[in-house]
Amino acid sequence: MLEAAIEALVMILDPQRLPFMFLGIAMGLIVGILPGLSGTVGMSILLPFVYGMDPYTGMALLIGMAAVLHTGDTFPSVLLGIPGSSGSQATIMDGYPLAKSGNAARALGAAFFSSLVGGIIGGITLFLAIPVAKPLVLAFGSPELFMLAVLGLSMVGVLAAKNARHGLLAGLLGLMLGTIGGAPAVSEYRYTFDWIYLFNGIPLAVVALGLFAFPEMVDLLAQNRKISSKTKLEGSWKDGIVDAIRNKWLMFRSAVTGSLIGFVPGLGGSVVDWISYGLAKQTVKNSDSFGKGDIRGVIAPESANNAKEGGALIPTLLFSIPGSGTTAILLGGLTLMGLQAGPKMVTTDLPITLSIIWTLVLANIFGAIACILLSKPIAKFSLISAKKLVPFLLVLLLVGAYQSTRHIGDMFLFVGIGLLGWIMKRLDWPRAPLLIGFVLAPAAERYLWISMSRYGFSWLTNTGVVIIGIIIILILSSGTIIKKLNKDKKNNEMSSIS
Amino acid sequence: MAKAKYSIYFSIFLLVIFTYAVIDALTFAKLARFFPLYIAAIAVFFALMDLILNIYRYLKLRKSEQREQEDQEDTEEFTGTVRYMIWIIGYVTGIYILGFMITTTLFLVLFLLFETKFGIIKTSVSTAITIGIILLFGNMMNLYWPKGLLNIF
Repeated sequence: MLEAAIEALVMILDPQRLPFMFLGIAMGLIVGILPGLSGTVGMSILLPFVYGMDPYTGMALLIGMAAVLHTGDTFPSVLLGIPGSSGSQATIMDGYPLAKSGNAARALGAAFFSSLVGGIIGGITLFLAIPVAKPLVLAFGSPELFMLAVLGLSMVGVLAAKNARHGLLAGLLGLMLGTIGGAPAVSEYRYTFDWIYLFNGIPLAVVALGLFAFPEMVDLLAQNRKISSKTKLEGSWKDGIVDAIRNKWLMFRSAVTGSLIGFVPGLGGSVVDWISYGLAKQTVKNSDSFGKGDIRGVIAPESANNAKEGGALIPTLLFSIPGSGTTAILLGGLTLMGLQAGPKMVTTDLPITLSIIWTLVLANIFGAIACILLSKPIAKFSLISAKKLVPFLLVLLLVGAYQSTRHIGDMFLFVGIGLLGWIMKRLDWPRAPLLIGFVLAPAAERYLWISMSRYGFSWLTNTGVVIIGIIIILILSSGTIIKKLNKDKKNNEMSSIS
Repeated sequence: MAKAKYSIYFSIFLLVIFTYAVIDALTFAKLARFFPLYIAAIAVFFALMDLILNIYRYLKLRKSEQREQEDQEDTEEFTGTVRYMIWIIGYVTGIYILGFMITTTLFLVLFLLFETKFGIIKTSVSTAITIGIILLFGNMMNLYWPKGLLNIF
């Protein structure tokens, strides 16, 4: 296997193939930087070009793009408070407050270094998973997938700790928005008001952009200010890297969490960053500063979302089960190059799989280096006044929203959900729970329905279900326990001093 | 004070939305009904609880002395916000009527001239570059921009 891995590395580093990987990286970074564009868009653009390419070159192009997408999407999340793609939603929670306090370069440095480490861990996970992937993937049936959706939903409680009632209501509203469109179990359209646009549900990009971008743009204009409250940028990307190294364990375990959740098909990558953010918030010391510009709130989701890509390739390559739109198009790409995803990928086509792993690792390294070099000049965006920045940004966001379904309804809903987001922001309602509810509603409903119709209530006693249930309880209670332990420790120290 | 009042309105809005969701869910087929019905029913309960608590908070705040000053500050900021919301809503409405390319050009020119206070040359160059990028992106993605009700461009 080691010999095959070295052989695959030589193939990838072939001067005729390497430029295609760089082309993929450049495309991935551009798609990531532009808010609203997802990996699916990047794959769609590149797919026609892989026709007739040899598999190593074609995979270098496609995987190069997918690998760095979540590195580039950090720019809008940190600088503008707008999710660059579905994988960087949680980054805005602390990344944007850091940018507002003039620490954009530091936040970006930490994010890119975490992305690099996360991407490499994702690649290693894919490599290690090759011999044990089958039992791992088969261990997740509908009941376990439903419980994983519940695990994601439990993050609503974590994110709305200080305002549980509003957080819960926002989460429920998100779940309701997620039910719009066709029902999974029967051919019925719900809450569509006979508007064809709603038959397929509301696109995630429209909800995320409306909820976070619209209120931010309106408030920036109304207050006529720059994103950064300071006139000069404080800190540099080097400080961010030091921060990331200082929190190496958080980075490592978030990356492992990301790759583990990534290989569960059907859950979708959109929730990985929220889960790792919630886990970090619940388990680190002094988590009160989360949401106010804590660098650990950037490190956790950023290492997880890049690591997820490696994990997501396990079911895609080995079982032809795409976990997202991006991996579904990747399957199409494989077919165009004359390959068939399945068990052959670890036997006769093993060199291709290994070349994918190498591309994943190398693209993450090159992508992060490119972003780190670009972070200082791009961070200067936060010093541009709102009236100069917002008109162009608004056009860009509408284009991003429109390409979701290419229907004018995308633009209308962007404004409608934007107004809702603005009201929630002004009334101090947490918006993240709404997004989590929306993302997880289809998965929760589908897997609950399959579990109930297939197993009745007996699925509740499945080993996997019980284990995930215990994990949920532990996560939700760990925050309180850690806080209590810290408080007791402080009290003991105070009493020993006095 | 104003925030407490708007919180009541928002709670009422949510309550109406969730109640409608419950009523509408009752008309769905059995398999399509169970998830939205239970979620909406739970949401109605919490929205009602939120409304009651918001009314209680509002009544309590009415006795506060600082309310007039806070209300004035809120109103000033709100006026600025509404102005820019009208710009955005006007832009999207324009897209619906005139189409994307025409409205985007108009929006950029008008906003940059009157709000950003750019000169004519700066406005023209910025608009031309933006439109160029949009056309290039549309070409790459094979996108057909909305032509609006007038169906001009």
